[in-house]
Amino acid sequence: MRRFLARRLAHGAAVIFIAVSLSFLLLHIAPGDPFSATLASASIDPATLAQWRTAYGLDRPILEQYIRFLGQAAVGNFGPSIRYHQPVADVLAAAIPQTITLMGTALVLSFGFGVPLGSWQAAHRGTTTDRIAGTASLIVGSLPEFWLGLVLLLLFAARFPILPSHGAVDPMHDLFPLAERVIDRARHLVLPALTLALLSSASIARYQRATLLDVLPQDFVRTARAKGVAERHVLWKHALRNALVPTIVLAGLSLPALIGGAVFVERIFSWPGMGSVAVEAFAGRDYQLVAGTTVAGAVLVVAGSIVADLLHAVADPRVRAR
Amino acid sequence: MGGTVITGLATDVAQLIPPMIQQVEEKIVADQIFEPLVMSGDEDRLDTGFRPAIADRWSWERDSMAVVFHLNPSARWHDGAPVRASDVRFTFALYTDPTLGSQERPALSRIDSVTVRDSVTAVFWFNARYPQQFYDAGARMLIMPEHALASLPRATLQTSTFARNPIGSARFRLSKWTTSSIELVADTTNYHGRPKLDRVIFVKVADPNAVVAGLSNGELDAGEIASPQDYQKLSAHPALRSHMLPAWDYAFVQFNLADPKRRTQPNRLFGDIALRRALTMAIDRKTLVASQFDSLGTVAVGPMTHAQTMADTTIAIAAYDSLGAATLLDSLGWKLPAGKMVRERAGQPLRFSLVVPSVSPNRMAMAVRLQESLRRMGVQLDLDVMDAAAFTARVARRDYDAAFNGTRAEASIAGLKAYWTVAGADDPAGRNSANYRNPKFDAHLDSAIGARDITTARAHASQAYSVIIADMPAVWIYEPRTAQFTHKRIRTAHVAPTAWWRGLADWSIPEAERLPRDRIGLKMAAR
Repeated sequence: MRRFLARRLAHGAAVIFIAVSLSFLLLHIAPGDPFSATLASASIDPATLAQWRTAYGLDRPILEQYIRFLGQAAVGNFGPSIRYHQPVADVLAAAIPQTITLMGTALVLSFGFGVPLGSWQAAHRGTTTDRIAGTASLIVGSLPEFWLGLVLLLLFAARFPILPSHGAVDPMHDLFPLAERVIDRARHLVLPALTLALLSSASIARYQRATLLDVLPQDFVRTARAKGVAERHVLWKHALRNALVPTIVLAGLSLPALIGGAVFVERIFSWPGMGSVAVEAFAGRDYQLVAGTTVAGAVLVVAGSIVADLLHAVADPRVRAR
Repeated sequence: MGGTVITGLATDVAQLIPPMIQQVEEKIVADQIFEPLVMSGDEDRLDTGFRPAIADRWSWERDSMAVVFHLNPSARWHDGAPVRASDVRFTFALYTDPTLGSQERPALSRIDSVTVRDSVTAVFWFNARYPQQFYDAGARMLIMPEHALASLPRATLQTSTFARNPIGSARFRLSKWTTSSIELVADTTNYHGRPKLDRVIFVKVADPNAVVAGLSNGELDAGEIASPQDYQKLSAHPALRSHMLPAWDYAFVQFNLADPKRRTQPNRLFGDIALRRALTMAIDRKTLVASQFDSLGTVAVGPMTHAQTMADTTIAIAAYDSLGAATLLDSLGWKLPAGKMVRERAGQPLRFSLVVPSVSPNRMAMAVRLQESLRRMGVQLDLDVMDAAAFTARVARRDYDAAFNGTRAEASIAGLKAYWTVAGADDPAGRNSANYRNPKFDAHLDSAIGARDITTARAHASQAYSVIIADMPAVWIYEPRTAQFTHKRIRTAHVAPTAWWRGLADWSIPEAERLPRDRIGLKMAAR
């Protein structure tokens, strides 16, 4: 297991290095820089812009900038964010917990809804309701995040104003009593988490249905039935347990999609997470912050896949044996 | 006294060092915490209508080369220290320090120095007489506390603690700054008197749809709207009141008059003023602007906006005349061959690209309309859409045929100098990216800037505008307007048309109409 973990960590480090290097390279070869990144920057005196570029070392050769950047990144020091005028670490420290809260909630909701739905569909395969559910999940799963987010926003924050339209908490959150604070946080989570969860639960349901249909004809299921075990127990205790192993792996692999989706969803709902920060960083050519968000995103994705591998190994003895 | 106003801001406020302010959102917040020596009039007139702020009175020296400001002796910073004349001198030093890159610095170039006569008397010395002297000295700069900033290195000022914990002298002070909101509370011991509201909270709401939702469901008390559809929707809302704000931005299709590869050579197309005229005449600006903006936009009138003091909106621009445009193009040799959609001359199609910044939805939408207008005239317009950084870099390099540019008009006409004068074109790093050169324009502009009275300045400004509009280095397309919505329970005693946020400290909410959040009082949030 240790060797397995060490190998996965080494792979993860390589992925992070490649992701960060690519983002550095692509951003630097794109036209413009942090000081030409807004339309308003055209009104700043060119001499002042030149001075700022020198101060941030942007007038140095790209290789020199890259080596300096790697040196700083290796010790976790990404320097100050040009956009936010704060250390990148501080910007990320505020944003990452928000994104983890949103993604964690979305992940729980999507599995909490997707797995039972997929299992129910498998148990009722071929029926009209299975076909309707399958079509519905296909349609929902095909929707773009930003579109679904906007529809939910306009529906539940504007047309029927029962949920907040923006932010992670009410601006007066700190003045509320504890119970109201909990409710306030939950209310703000509903629309962004629901947007992400609806999309991923649709694909999880389809995946779960397919894996359960693979498991149901297997010998151990037939044996259980032959022993007179009730059909409900056969499905939920015997078949589903085995069919969940690939779905557990899917949980880890869902992270990249959720992070990608969070970029749009956080923007629509002004959720102060990493997605919002990343959008600002890329649009503003904030090199340091882009590096920081890329590393943080890559770490989350790599960590997710390692956790998925570990869970897979725990759940499936054949993997441990390998 | 009492009440809370929650206002939406489109982008993050990154710092609150007034000389380093780059975005209007930062200005909106900074204007509640800091104050200038004098408040300018509502129309941002440069020569009249000023009201006391930190300075309670002022006087001119006989030769009009110096103005003396007497500071209100009761003026205090939020930390209790008195506001002194040395703070004024220090503020001027910050605004004119090139390392800080203040956008106001060029406009302050005609102030020679600031001296301290005594602890409450600051003297501004000018190196020229001009109409907006008083505005530049008294209203352009937000005064900052020397005692809190003098020991900090200026190069890192924007990352200092002060940048996110500012100490000002205005009627609100900072209470809390989180990742998504900034809370200001009433400075109850302020020398102007405490504000009528208890608190103002600025929240980031990035998506315009969320602003509409927030305003209509009561989460937001104030916010700006730029889309005509949203404007109509919210105008019908019974709980909201709207104020139409005058336009300070204008957008224009700027022609590169020089060859992008060899700047000394005229542009293969736009070096010819007759072609520029034909293209201008081919565009029905009035219809295009009305179809895109409805009541939230007006046709641009030149390198100015209707709101500017110096604007001359009577100067004629080549009117839409599709037949005239076609005839002119024909006479220039750009003929439409039978069976073809694009005009040609000597086998070369009449085709050029327009660089458009994707960050501006208005320009993106209008570019498509322009493309269609020109297509009908047999002109192929290729849209080259790019992000803001690429756009500004490309335009700065002058590597384009035509650019859908836009700018924010300054109160003073001096702002045009960098963009359209010969000096700006000759300097390879200069901002005259259209390579426009006309010494007559320069002369009139200089005369307008240097005029001693507003009437003379306006006359020269008008002549400068006439020259550049006749030369057609650009097609002046639109001035986008925004509407500001406020919840009706809030009494906006006075909304300055140029800066709706300016009178926030005088806004109030009657006791009977207060919401629960208005009744919380000045209890401080946990920090």
